[in-house]
Amino acid sequence: MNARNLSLAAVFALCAIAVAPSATAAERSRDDVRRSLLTWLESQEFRVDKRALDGLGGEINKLLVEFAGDPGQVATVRQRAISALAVYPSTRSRQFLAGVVFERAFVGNSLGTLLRREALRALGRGFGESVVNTLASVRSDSNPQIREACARALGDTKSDNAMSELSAWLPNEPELFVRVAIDEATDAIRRHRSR
Amino acid sequence: MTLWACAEVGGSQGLDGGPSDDARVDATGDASDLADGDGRSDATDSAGPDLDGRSDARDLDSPDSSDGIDGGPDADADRDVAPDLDAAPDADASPDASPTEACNGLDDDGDGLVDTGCGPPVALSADAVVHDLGLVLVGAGKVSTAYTFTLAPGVSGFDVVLLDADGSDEHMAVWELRDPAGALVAAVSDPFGHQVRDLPGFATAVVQVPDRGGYVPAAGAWTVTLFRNGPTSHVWLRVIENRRPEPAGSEIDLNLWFVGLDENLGAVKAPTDPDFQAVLAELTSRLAFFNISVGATEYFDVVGVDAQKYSYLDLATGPLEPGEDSELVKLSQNLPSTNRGLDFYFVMGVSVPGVIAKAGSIPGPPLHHGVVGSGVIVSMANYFAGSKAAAVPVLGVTMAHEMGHQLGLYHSSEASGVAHDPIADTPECTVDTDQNGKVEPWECQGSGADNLMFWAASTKGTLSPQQLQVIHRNPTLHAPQEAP
Repeated sequence: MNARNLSLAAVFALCAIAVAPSATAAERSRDDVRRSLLTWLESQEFRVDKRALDGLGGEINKLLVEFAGDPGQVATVRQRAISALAVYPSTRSRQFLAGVVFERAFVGNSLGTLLRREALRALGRGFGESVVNTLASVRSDSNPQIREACARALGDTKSDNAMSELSAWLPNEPELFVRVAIDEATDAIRRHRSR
Repeated sequence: MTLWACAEVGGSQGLDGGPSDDARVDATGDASDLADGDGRSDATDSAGPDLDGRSDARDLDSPDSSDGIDGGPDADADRDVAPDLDAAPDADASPDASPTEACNGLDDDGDGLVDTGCGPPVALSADAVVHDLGLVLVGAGKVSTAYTFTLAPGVSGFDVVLLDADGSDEHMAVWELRDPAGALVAAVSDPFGHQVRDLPGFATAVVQVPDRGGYVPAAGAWTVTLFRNGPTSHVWLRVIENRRPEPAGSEIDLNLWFVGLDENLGAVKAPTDPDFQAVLAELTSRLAFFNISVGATEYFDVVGVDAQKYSYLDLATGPLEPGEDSELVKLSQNLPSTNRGLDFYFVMGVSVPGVIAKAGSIPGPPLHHGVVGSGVIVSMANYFAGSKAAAVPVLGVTMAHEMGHQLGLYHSSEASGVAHDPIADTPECTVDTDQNGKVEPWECQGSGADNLMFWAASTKGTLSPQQLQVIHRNPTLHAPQEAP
């Protein structure tokens, strides 16, 4: 191993624990898939991994929307389902996520703040340039936590248009921690450009 | 014993504090130094940095060779890199430095170690000893000089801790750890291939010995080499020993941080809030099964702009990148050095991707506050947005699960069923009857689903005898009823 070429990134790759679905996954009933997905959404640790999600069975996209919109589920299950929709960038997912962001019932309460923030981030990560205008329309939201998530979501899009929106927003944002988020989002896009 | 101390941290309202004069630090890094009086360890004399600043570290190309060719950090580079004086604590804050070593970013006593004993304060229990080797140079794609520390007889476990000293949050790792016989005990180039797991981290890296049952670290001179991405710079290197022999019963102190929570749940209300106390009761009862009692419990508020910023926490979207969690834990850096508590931070929610709770690292840097990886984040989303009766038991067990990570336990079985912890007596579930790529609780009944460290832990939450050995040996735990 050449010391000068060694990067700890290689070690991280070595350490990564792959979660690969079985290539021979049997046909499973919708109830079975739903139960497996719910177990994952309820577990201590959760990360969005499309291959692993697909390995659970069919119609994951629809099930995620079901869980995300189900008031009977606990907040973090709904939040995780929303987050996972970022790797299923369909029209249905996009409409659902935008619906969460603009849902009136989610304004002014902690559950709504949690879900709206996650939906903003999922839009930014999953849909990129195409949702910059949607995201930018939230930058005047009265809730600074939403504005912070909006800034980070714009950064997640990695798009030039988002950079313009962030630059225009920064001098007019009254909250310090939101300004920090805008600045960090701008940096994230710059770093992405420089790669 | 429960001690309630309400304090506020945030904005400019930081806690007063700093290390006390009674903190016990083996500033020489070697108990035997006291005997030979040269201020350096015997092994450092032979394997550590030479007094001329040149190194005899081995080349990464041949990590097992001893030719010393083209090996250590470049001597010229050593001289070119000015110590970061800003990163060093004030001399006033480091009463445990050796008499001839000032906390000034220089090697005052000429032993090849900079600012020995000047690292961030550590709260020690009676049976814990820190070997604070000070600032060491590492980076530029090279393995560091070999550093030596000597374990006294009877040590039951220890942690090698690397801490970022220049604020760059670079990735770093223990490159190799060798026991007194020269045997390789841990190596980050083969993280799962040795007696102890060795994984890199950013800003903080910790290797815990042992991380499994049936292994007792030998007394004598151990050597450690380090690796760090980026240019050559300083990191703090210290080793924390637990000298309690085979502890079977322990106590853990807790620091509970409230970060902009709803319903005014904070340091004033939480000690008497029945729902929150029910969460703690769940945690306490779970820990009681493991012969761990909860000792001093202190409550703190994060206020002001920090409470606003971190009440909904944004994690990094990439693996091993710094997110807001690594910023939040730094708010505890001014806790007094007598505080031995494990820090839990309660936030309204954690974004991307809906984390319920998150340990700082596996293991965390024991007894440290305010450094990356030093605390556990807990989302209160389900507590505030749903049924508290349903949320309370889950939160209690989740805190115990994350505490297990912080004290050095891995998942007994990962979701894939392919990866498992290094502990011999934990059940390993590999059953994936429905072939969906996941070993699920109903598939692992009788083969690990009830273990607290199962990837989808149930509210039963058991631990095996060897898992208990690992956590009881962590220096974060102390003897029951022991005063700080």
